[in-house]
Amino acid sequence: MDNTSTAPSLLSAAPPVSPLLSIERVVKDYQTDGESVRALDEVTLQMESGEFVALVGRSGCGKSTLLHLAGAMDFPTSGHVRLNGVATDHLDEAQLTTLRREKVGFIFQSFQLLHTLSVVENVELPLLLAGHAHPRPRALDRLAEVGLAELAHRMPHQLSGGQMQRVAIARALVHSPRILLADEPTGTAILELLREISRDQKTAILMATHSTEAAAFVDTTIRMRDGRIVD
Amino acid sequence: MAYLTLFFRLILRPVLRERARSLLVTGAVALGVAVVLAIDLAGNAAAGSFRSSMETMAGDNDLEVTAAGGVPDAIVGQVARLPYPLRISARIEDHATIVSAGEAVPLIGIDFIAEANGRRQNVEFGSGDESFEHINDTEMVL
Repeated sequence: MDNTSTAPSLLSAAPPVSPLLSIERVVKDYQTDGESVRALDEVTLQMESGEFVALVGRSGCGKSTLLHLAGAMDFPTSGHVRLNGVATDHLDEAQLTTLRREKVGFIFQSFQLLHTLSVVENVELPLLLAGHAHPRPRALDRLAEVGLAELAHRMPHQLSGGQMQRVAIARALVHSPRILLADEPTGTAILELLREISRDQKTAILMATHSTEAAAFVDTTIRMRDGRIVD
Repeated sequence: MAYLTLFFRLILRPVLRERARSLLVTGAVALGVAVVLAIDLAGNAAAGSFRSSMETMAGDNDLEVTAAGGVPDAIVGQVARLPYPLRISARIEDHATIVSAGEAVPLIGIDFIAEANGRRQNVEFGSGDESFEHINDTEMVL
């Protein structure tokens, strides 16, 4: 019995060029209190530029684990994750940092904005870390794209939850990543915004969500249960 | 330039914005370091004091030979004549009571000639050193 769980619409038979994101028969085990817990079980999927994919399932089904593996923030127990054609488990720390900084944007569930920095300074942060001396114009452009140009100089605590989420999106996009990973984005307006980004900028978006209404905005919905893709 | 900007925004500016908190944290860290240093210094001082007391009692000898009831003086003479670069000096250690004060003090008997041959230890009676305050007074020591 082949226990490989796949996302049928995303799998293609040996594409001629390497896909943007390729996850091949990935297993991820965690050790808790001496016991091994399987978070992902033989998961396989591929994504191309401009695809908008939703991972849907209950808490603990492995959505966030899959996002972390896709963003090279964690590594599989077995199987391979290839990002932009590069196997993440073959890179050293410096190469991983560069890969994440240049190719991946991540929108955290709790946004992770720095509260001592203004909105525009938060958005500039990835560019400053990459060594850009004058990041302000690009940061303002990204804020304008998410509709927050006029709030650029506010502090995060002066924003609503939705506005903070938009700032997090602008920050994730400021270095023009090829893939955007979103952990539980909420609200129809945000989903519409992500849909636009995917379509207009050809950025691949992999989104973990509980929401079944997300299906209306994405190209593909992958349902997960107990660490496996079921639909 | 980018890293200077980051240093200013992430470190310097928050410190300057919240001066009271920064001062409190700095003070708390300084106090913690001071306490650790003070404990270390006090420990060193206690160990030094103990070592000093031991040297007063036993001298700065490398090796001390003791025996129950004392080492026979004939053996001291034999050891001293051995053809090795050794400095041998006899020493008596006991306790005595000062009659007038009723105070017990350590009593140390030294062979000054042997001591003087080996090292520069100039002890002048009546020089003001309290350790030898009563050494000439035969009436004072039981």
